[in-house]
Amino acid sequence: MNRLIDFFINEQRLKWKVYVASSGIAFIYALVRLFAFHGSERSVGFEAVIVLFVLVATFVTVYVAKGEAFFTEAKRPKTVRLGWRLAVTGAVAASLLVSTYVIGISSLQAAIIDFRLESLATLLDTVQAANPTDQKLRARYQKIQSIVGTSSTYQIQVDPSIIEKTQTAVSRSLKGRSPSDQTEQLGWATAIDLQSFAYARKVETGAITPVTPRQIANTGGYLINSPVSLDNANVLYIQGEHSWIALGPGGGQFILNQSNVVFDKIDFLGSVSVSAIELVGDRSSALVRDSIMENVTQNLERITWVDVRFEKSRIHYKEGAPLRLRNVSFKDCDLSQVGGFLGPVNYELEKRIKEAQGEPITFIYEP
Amino acid sequence: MNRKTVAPTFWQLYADHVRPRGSLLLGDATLMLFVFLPPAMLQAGLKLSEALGSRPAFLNAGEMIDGVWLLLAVGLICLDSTGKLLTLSISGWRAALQKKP
Repeated sequence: MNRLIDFFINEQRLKWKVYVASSGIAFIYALVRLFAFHGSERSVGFEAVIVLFVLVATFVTVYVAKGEAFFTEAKRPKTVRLGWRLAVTGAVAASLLVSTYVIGISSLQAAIIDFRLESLATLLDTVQAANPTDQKLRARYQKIQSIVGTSSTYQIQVDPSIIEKTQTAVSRSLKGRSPSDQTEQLGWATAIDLQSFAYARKVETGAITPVTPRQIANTGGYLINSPVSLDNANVLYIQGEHSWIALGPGGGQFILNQSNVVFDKIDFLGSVSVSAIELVGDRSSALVRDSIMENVTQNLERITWVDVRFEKSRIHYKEGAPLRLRNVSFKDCDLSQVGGFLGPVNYELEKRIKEAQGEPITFIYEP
Repeated sequence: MNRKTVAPTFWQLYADHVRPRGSLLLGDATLMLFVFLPPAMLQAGLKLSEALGSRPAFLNAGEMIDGVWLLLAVGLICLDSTGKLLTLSISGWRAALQKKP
């Protein structure tokens, strides 16, 4: 028993050597299991802790039984003082740990992203005049897409105004020049990603107050049997959790009159022949994202569709109008109103939908 | 009348040890900092790498290493604290019981 007490209380050097050796072996075991044998993180973590416990228990047992372990050194005085070196190093370690909380890694991340987006926006504005190559322009768009994707995935608190500024720079860089079709599509897709991300950040920062699912209906869904007109709304953000809105046979549809509306995670179930979302007036715009449109009739033009799935729906598109599809899939949809007989954009749209066979497509046309 | 055995107080359990209690706790707290410092710094580095646009595979590997390290650190601290408290409590009880009233 005395040796056990010695190990945990008096033999500090020996104890920490045992801990370091055991942890080192357990850590190497975990790395091999993770990267060579591709074990799952959870099971490898559990196994590593078991290995650590077994190793420490073995060292302690050996020490208790023999009075020495593999790392035992010559006898030292039992009193261990908190030396100045340990105190200084500890203070530096503590200040480093505290500084990570005080500075705030998330704000540092946001600052880096803000800086990168701003410099890319400036660069796009600059290269506008310098007339860069198609390849360079595409590389810039890809970089912006990558930044937006990372920021969105890790919920980095990017400044919405900088996102909007970058979106404007991207849109401006595409106008007044004729890049290749591939670069143009990539550029517009980037602009849509930025727009969608800017809305998300505005909701997060409280700049836009979303209408929540509870306000839509307590049961998770809502039936509208007559047209709902949204007039002169600056930005109306309707956010759900795949809450459904059923469009009843009495003419259920949303009419956006000089309004900007975002439908986020709202699913539409339709049974009427009028367009589920109708834009009226030049200043109206809509962004639908992460939604399912089932059995609806819908005009695609002028609305930005992001991560939307159309199922068993009747699709319309007015030739020559802006068309913005970002990761939009069409499954078992009626395409009789879309086709080459209506014009080249209709032809391309029909072709892409058919070729995708239900997989998401990105297709943007800006006249 | 039977004499009742009086339980020792918390401080009595630790009173006879060679190291002052403050030094013992402060020394161990410092060592614990070293255990938690690398995963904390790694986590901070990974967050900054995310912002700088590092590859997801790199970030994922970093997260895994960080997770395992943190788990081992917590396991070690738990093991050390349990062992320390257990042995001290047992020795304290023994010492208290051997003292004659």
